[in-house]
Amino acid sequence: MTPVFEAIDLNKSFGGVAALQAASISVEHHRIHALIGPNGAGKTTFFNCVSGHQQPESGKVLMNGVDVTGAPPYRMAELGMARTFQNVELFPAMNVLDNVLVGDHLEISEGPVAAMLRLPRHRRSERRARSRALAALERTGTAQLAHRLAGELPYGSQRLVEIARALVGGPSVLLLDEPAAGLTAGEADILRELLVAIAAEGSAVLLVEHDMRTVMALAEEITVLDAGRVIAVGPPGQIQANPVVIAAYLGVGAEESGEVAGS
Amino acid sequence: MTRSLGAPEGTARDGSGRSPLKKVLVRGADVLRGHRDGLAPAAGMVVLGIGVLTMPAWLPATGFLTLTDGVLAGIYTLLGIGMVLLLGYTGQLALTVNASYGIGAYATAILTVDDRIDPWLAMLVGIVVNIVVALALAFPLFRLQGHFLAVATLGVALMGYTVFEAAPVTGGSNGINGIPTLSIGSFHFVSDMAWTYLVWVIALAALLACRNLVTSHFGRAMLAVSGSEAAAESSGARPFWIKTLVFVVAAALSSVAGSLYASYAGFVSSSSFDLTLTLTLLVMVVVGGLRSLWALPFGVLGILALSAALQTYGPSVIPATGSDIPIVGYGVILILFLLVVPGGLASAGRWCAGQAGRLVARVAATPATQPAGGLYGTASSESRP
Repeated sequence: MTPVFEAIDLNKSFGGVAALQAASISVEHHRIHALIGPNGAGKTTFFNCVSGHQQPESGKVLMNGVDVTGAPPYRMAELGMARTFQNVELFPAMNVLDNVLVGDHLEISEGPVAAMLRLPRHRRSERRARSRALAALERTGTAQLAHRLAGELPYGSQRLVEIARALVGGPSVLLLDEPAAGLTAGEADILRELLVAIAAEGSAVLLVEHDMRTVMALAEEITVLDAGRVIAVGPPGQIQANPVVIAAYLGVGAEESGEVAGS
Repeated sequence: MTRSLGAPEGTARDGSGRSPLKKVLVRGADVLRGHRDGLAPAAGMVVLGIGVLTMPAWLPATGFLTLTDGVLAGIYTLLGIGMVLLLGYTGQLALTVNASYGIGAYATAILTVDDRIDPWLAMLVGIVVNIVVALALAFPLFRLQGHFLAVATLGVALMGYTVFEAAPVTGGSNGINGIPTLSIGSFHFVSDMAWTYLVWVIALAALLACRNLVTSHFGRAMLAVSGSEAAAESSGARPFWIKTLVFVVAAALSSVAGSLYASYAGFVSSSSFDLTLTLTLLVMVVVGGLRSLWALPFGVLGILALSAALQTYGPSVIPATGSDIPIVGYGVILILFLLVVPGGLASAGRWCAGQAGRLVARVAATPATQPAGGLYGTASSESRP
């Protein structure tokens, strides 16, 4: 089975500091894949390089086996990639429903003249998009917020709305940057169930996450980054027991890590 | 489920059912409180339509406004729409309105002055030229962001003005005289009343079309671009194309405004297309509300009225002030509005409508058997906080 999304040997540096060094990942349909690593490991840079917000200096990004390295973010969106941001990038002046409708932008194909004249086919497109957006809000448990201004919502709700915006267009690859950060326990439960359901429907989910409970409960595959390098790939059980990973997280030398893991 | 979503919390659904009067009241309350967006354009068109139809009666009655101001208000409204779309919705401070307005005006002036071609055709030529220029400018300009864009467009604005002043075909500050008026069939637009109606039919149509645009996926993409370009782009909305689209729409509307102005005034000179125009429009748009198309005509008329009033009564209050006094007033108003009501007349109006809506909802929820005194008692206690 070809992976729906692949990044191969990505390199990126900022002012001489290497943020990514030959970092690779491969994500398949129906799977939840987690990208973890200590602070500053390069997780967000990795996301930005594959979603088109930053350009890798070398390496390849493939969607369905096609090379799309360096494609701008809107192109990645057209190819079926959707993402959320670490710091929640909602549109504060719009209500929640309109925010989610922006995520459905590509599904409304009518041009500006059709929109200005409010032609029947444009009205139908808008109606369909609206019910999809409401369904996406429903799935994230934020439907009752549909008419509130996005900028007025508590942080956790903003995260869930941003996830609704990312999944409304039915992406084949969903990148989530710390989706559980700032969520209440109840919201985190909704999120976990939702991600499992999205993967079951066929999307590939790639998440950066610090909450190990979420990661270990959800991910079928984990890639660990440290100082821009992939130091381990494997299922949760293996990663938890991997001495190199434990060393990277606890900041001790690799030779001592055996002790730490054993204790 | 969808029903509860369509009607946000606090919708006065409780009072529905019994008498038709109550149904009307409940609906009215929802409209006033902004819970039924679908009726807003109809309400806006009715209010503005009545305002425009009665202009020949109420404009001269003010004592300092004339029907000429009515025509100018329609032209400024057409110009202001572009600024609302660009600055209010898309968050782009592009100050080239004087150039596109001038291109439209000179297209009409140059092409029609010796009855060379039909004025309507000249208007079309102006639009086409403006769209081509806007597309050509968009490629370099929209590589720039924030204040870099503002400064670069200011440069374009000054270039435009210089061209209008210096080009051999424009007549410079002496201008072009004897531009024929517009006509439909055998009807020639001569009187100020005919011009008021013509200009406002076009302005209201443009307002409605642009209102449709901003409530469509394009409008959402525009607001998205002004909110977060990264997130807009990840959602598939291309910021560059959205900005270019808005820029082109703004240029086309300014072009129509310019052509109308040239045909109406019968004379154009470069002084009509300097940066004072841009500043005046900016004040009008801020007073109306940066993100409100419906409030724009109110901002335009408010500033026109104020400037006329200052010119009429100003010299008697402060002697030795000339015609520059409105410019001083603009600065003061701009700062006051940005500090006190940044949402402009639109937000003030929305607040008042919301209060009125709450009052109507309270009246509608009161049992019909209650005496009138009780109604007012409840209503006033509601409006107190």
